[in-house]
Amino acid sequence: MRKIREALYRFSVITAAAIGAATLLLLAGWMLAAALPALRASGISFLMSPVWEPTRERFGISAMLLSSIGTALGAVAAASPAALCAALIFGEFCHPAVGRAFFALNRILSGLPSVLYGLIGMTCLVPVIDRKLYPLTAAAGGTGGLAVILILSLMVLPSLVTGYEQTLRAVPQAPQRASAALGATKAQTAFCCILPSIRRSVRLHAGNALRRALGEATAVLLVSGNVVRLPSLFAAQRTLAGTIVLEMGYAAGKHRSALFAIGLFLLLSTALLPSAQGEG
Amino acid sequence: MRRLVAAVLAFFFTACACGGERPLCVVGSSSMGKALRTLAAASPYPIEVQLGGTQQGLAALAEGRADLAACSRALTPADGEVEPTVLALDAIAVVVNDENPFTAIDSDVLRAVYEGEITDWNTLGCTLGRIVVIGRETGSGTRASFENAIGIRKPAHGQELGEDGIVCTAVSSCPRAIGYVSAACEAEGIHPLLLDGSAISQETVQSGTYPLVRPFLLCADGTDERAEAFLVWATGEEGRTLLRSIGLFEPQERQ
Repeated sequence: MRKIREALYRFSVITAAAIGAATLLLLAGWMLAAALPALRASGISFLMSPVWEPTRERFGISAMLLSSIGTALGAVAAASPAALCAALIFGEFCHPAVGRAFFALNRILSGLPSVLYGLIGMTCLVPVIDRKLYPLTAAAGGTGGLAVILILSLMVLPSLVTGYEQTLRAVPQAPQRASAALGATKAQTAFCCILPSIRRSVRLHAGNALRRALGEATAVLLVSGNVVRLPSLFAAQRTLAGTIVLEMGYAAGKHRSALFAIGLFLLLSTALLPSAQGEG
Repeated sequence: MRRLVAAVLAFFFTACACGGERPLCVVGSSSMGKALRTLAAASPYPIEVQLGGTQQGLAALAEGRADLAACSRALTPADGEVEPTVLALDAIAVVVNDENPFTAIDSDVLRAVYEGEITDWNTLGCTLGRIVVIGRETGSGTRASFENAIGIRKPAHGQELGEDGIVCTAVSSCPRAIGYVSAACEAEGIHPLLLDGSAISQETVQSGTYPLVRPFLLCADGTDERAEAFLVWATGEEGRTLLRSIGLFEPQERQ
């Protein structure tokens, strides 16, 4: 009886794993097949050219690529220290009840749909940037790299906080007690004992956040201004993911294939980033 | 945005409500979405609406995947042999924020603004500051119609947005902005400009005095009787009344 059960479990686990792997392979293969016509037609200029004019079949993604990388890096650079500090303060320093309330609130935030962030950005953040920084962002009316970075950093913040919270909770207690016994204050313990020990995990969570920021489209579309040009903090620009959402609705032929090529590119770049899978 | 959600819901309900008989399949321009859904909801024939773009609609019709193609621009010889029926006329309104004192603009000035020759409202006689030129993304039918009618070759956009509703929101939150949307799109905090001295009305749109008008066409391949019956209904009194109620205009000749 037990043997049958074990064989059954074994079979279902292997089948599930095989289905998962096959789906992933099929997806990648299908995207590659869909992307090939555009890649073959544009060649290396697909990556190098900043000119994106689908109506004239000129597909160059470098401007959008730089914009995607710039805004995603900027957002994670801004959000990561803030998330780490928040996790430290609410996890280690303050009253446990306050900490629990904060993390509960944080989980709600991480469940908000991205279009909400975009709308908030469009109706609240962009006009404020426009007024305060006038005439820096004048031509774009407040949209541009700065608005995208701010909105993206808000969006990756909740998941970063959750990640760091779990990491901090998994840190062994013994070194901290030893540190306290040596007469170190709580802050000294946090900065000199806890933080160095979680360096690796910080990097992995930042990688996850980067992946999310790179793939985010709906919210970005509403605050980036979407004109294809080399990125700047104060002028409209377009990201890779944004382009897919903006143009997939009516793209046909080579144009559609070029959008798939962008998708393939995003898939590859996120696959290459470090992952926090299975880490505490 | 609320309108978008309502539209999506309406789409699903119409899609689910058509059981039994195979629904008539209309594929095409997303600008015509509201008009098509309004018709589909009241139509005596079950209708399925799929929105993508004018080009996709024509391709679907040619391949037999659609019974009718929805086109939001005039047909060209490259579009092949199809029988177009003018469903309605749509006007494109040039809109500015309510804080903007302008009430009228000429099409040459508009062209200069969109091509970046005029970059400041001060040049036009008011003290708002730098103009935020809002356009639509390449490939948008509204953008193609607008640029053709005004004669814009190389637009210098400050922003490119993906939907009429989003253009309205952007203009309503920026006093220096100027944008163009389908006249059927209404929003608070913005007002349309008189173009070359004429406002959008049934008369100016029909006679062509208002320069920014495009046809909403339904194209058939002449093989489907139910499609013909639907066209007769849609261009009849009931269809016309429905289309008028969502801000579209009647074409000149009646059938």
